[in-house]
Amino acid sequence: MTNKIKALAPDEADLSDMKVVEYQADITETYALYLDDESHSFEGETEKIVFPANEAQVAAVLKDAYEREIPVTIQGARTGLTGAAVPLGGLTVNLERMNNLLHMQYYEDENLYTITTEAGVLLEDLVNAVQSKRLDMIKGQGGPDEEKALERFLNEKKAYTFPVDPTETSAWIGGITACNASGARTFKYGATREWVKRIRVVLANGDILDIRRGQCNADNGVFEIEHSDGEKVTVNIPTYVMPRTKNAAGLYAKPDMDLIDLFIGSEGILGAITLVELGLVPLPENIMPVKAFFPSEDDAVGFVYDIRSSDSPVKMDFLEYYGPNAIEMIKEKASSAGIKIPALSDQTKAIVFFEFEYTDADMEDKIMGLETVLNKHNSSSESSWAGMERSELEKMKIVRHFVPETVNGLIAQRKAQFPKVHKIGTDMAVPDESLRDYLKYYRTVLDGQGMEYVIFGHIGNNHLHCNMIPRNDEEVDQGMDNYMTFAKKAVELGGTVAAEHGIGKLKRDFLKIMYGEKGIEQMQAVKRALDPKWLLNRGNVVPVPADR
Amino acid sequence: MKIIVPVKQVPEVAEVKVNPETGTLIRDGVPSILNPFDELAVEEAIRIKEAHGGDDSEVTVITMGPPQAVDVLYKAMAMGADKAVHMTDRIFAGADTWVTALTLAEQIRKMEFDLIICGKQAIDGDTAQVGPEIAEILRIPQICYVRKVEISEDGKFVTAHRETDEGYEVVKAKLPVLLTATKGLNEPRLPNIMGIMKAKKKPLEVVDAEKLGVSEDRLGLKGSPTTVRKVFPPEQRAGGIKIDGENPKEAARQLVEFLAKKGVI
Ligand SMILES: Cc1cc2nc3c(=O)[nH]c(=O)nc-3n(C[C@H](O)[C@H](O)[C@H](O)COP(=O)(O)OP(=O)(O)OC[C@H]3O[C@@H](n4cnc5c(N)ncnc54)[C@H](O)[C@@H]3O)c2cc1C
Repeated sequence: MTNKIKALAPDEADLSDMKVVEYQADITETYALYLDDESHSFEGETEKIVFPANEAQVAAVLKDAYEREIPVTIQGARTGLTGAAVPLGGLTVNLERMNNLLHMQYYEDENLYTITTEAGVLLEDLVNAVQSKRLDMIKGQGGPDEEKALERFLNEKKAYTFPVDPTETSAWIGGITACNASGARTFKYGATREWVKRIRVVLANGDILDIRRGQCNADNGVFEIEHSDGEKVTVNIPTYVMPRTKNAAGLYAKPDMDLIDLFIGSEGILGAITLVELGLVPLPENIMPVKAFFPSEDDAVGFVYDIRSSDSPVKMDFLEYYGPNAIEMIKEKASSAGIKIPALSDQTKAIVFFEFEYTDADMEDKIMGLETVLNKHNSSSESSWAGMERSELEKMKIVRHFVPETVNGLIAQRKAQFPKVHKIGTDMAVPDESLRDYLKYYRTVLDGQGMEYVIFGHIGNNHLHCNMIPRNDEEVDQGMDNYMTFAKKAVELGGTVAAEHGIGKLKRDFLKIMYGEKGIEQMQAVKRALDPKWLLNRGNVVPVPADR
Repeated sequence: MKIIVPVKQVPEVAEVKVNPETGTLIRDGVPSILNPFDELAVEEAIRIKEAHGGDDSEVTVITMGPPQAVDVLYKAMAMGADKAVHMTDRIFAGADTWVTALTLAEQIRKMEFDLIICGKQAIDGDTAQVGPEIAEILRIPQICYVRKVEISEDGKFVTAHRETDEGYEVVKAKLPVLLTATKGLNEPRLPNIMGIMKAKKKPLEVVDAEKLGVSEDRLGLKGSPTTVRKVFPPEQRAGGIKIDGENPKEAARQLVEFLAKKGVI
C-alpha cells in the first residue's frame, strides 16, 4: 500500500469541435438554466459555457484556464440544492456531452459486478439500462476482460441495480459522486461513496488522476501527489472527527483514508470527475413494502429503535417516516387523487414506511417477529398496508410525494403575497441514540413558535426533513434562525449539518459550526495543495481566502 | 356460498406507451397489476362471503396466463380469497376472447359455484366479452356492469344494480349467476402483511391443457375463431373550436359568424 500517486499528463486535445456558448445574449436567454440550480438562490453569471465531449477536452480546458488564471465552475445536472453548480463568473464546464456508459467489470473475489460510466450519464438512464440489461451500446467497447464480464452479466438470471436511490433521478453520475448522494436505501446500502470503485479526475492544472479504491491510502494523514511535470505536493488530511451519521458535509477525512474518498463528496473543489466505476447489487427475489400506522409519534419512534436494533427479527432496506401534520397532507391529497388508504384512520398519528426482503423459507419467521414488534408499539400487521409487487411500491411512493408536493404548493401560494417566502428544509442527521431527543427538540421549538411545519423523511438514518412553511416575511427570518439553532443542536448531539444535500455556497456557515475555524482552515489547506490558484468551484464548501 | 372470480394480469396502462411506428403497445419495463375491475370483483366476493358465509363458503380466484400471472392470484389471496387456480400452458397462449372464456369455463364447470364475479373488462384489451361468454358457455344468467349487489337472506337470489347509459336497472336473478363488476361497486381493500403471509400458504392449483382435458385444437391460438390482424391508433381528430364571448350575445354572434363561414346557414 502506498500514499503516493502519479498524475498523468493530459493528451493533446482537439478543441475545434467542442461546443462553446459565449455570447452573453445566448447565455442569459437560451442557456439561462445553466446559471441556476434547484436551490434558486443565486444570480449566476459566466463568461462562457463549454461542453467538452471527452476527458482530453476537459483536461485541455482546465489546463488553459489554469494558465490564464480563469475561475471554473464544473456542472452536472444542476439538481443540487445548495448553489454548488451555479457559476459566479469565469468559465463554466458542463459535462452533458459525456453521457456514455463505458463497460462492465466483474470481481470474482467479491462476486461484484461494476459498471463504468462517463460523468454526464443520467442516474435514471444508468439504473434503467442495468435493470433491463439493455446494454447494447457498450458491446465491443471494453477490453477482453470487460467484454467477458458483460457477457457474464447478460447471462445472469437475476436482475441487478445500483443500490443507492436518491429521490432526484435526473442527477448525473458525476454529480452524485461529487456530492456523495444518498437515498432511502442508504439505510441498508450506505451512500454513493460505498459503491464507487474507481474515478478519473482532472485536476486544476489539467493533470489527470486515475484512482482505484484500495490502491492509494493516506499514511498518517498524508498523501503525496506527483504532477506530470514532476512537481510533488503533499496533502495533509484534516484532523477533525467525522460524525457517526450519513454525511455530505465537507471533505471526508480519516488518517488512513483512501484517496478516492477525498474526491467523493468534495463538490468539485478539488477536480472534475470524468469517469466513475460503480458497484451493482442483485435485486432481491421478494420484497415487501409496508406502511405501518401508529397512534402516536412515540410509538412510531419506539418501533424504529427496536426494528433496527442488532437483535431485530427483520433487517429493513429502508425506514421512512411521516409525522402527524404530514399525515394530514397525505389524507387531503389522497382523497383528491382518488387513492383510498382504508387503514389510515383518524387514530393514525404517525406512519413508518419500510421494506424488507424475504424468501419463502424465512417469510413466516420474519413476519411473526415483525408482528411482535409492531404490537409492542400499538400497531399491527393486520392494520398495515403491504405490497407484494413493485407496482404496489410505486403506489406507495406516489403517496410519499404528496408531502413535498403540498409543501411546495403552499409555498408558491404564499410567495405570491410575500415574495421573501421560501421553503426552509433541514438536512441534518444525528446518531442513532439521539433520534428521539432531536425529534422532540424540533417539536418543542416549532410548536412553541406556532410555526407551520411538517416532519418526514429518512428516519432509519435519523435524517428527518423538517420543512418549515413560513406564512410571512417575519416567519422567514424566524425559520432561518431556527435552521441555525437546529444545526447547532445536531452537532451538539454528534450529528451533521448536511446529511444529503451537501454544503455548496449556501450552507458554509453551518459547516463552521460542525468543524470549527480550524477544520475550515484544514479543508482550505487541502484545496490549496491541489488547486493553488483557487480556480475550481470558488465559494463551494469553504470560503475563498483573502489572498486568492 | 361458493364464489369464483376469474381475474387477469394486465400491464399498468397508465405507463404504457404506443410505438408510433408499429402502433403496438410498448410493454417492456411496464409493471403488471391485477386488472382493476377484477380487483372490484375480488373485493365484492370477499364481502359477500364475509356477510353471508357459512363455514363452507369460499372465494376461488382463477386465471389463465403465463407463469408470472401467478402474482395476481397471490394478490387476490392476500386480499382474502381462499384459494386459486392457475391455468398455464403454452397451448393456452394466443387465445382470443372466445377461447379464453371457453378455457376458463371448462375449468369452472368442474368446480362448485353459486356465483361468478368478473371485472367488466380487462384494461388492456377492453373487450368486455370474456365474462358474458363464460356465462353463455355455462348456460347461466349474467348481469353485467353491476355497481351494487345484494344477496337475499336465504342466499338464493341476487339483486343487482346494473349500469346503463341512461341510469341503472335493478335486476333480480336466481343463483347461480355471473356478474361483471364496474367502477363504484366498492373500494377494494389494500393487502396487509398478514394477508400476504397467509396468501403464500393458501392452496394454488395449477392446471395445464392435459389436466383440463380439452383437445388442443379447441385451445389457444389454434382454437381461436378470431385473430388480431392489425393494431393501429385511431386517427387524430382535429380539435373543435371553443366560443367564449364576453356575454351570450357576443357568443351568439361568434357562433353565427362561424356557421355562416362554413356555409351551414
Ligand atoms: C427534488 C429533489 C430531490 C433530491 N433528492 C436527493 C436525495 O434523495 N438525495 C441526495 O443526496 N440528493 C438529493 N437531491 C440533491 C441533488 O439531486 C444531489 O445533490 C445530486 O447529487 C446533484 O447532482 P447533479 O448532477 O445535479 O449535480 P449539480 O447540481 O450539477 O452539481 C452539484 C455539485 O457537484 C459538482 N459536480 C457535478 N458534477 C461533477 C463532476 N463531474 N466533477 C466534479 N464535480 C462535479 C458541481 O460542481 C457542484 O458542486 C435532490 C434534489 C432535488 C431537486
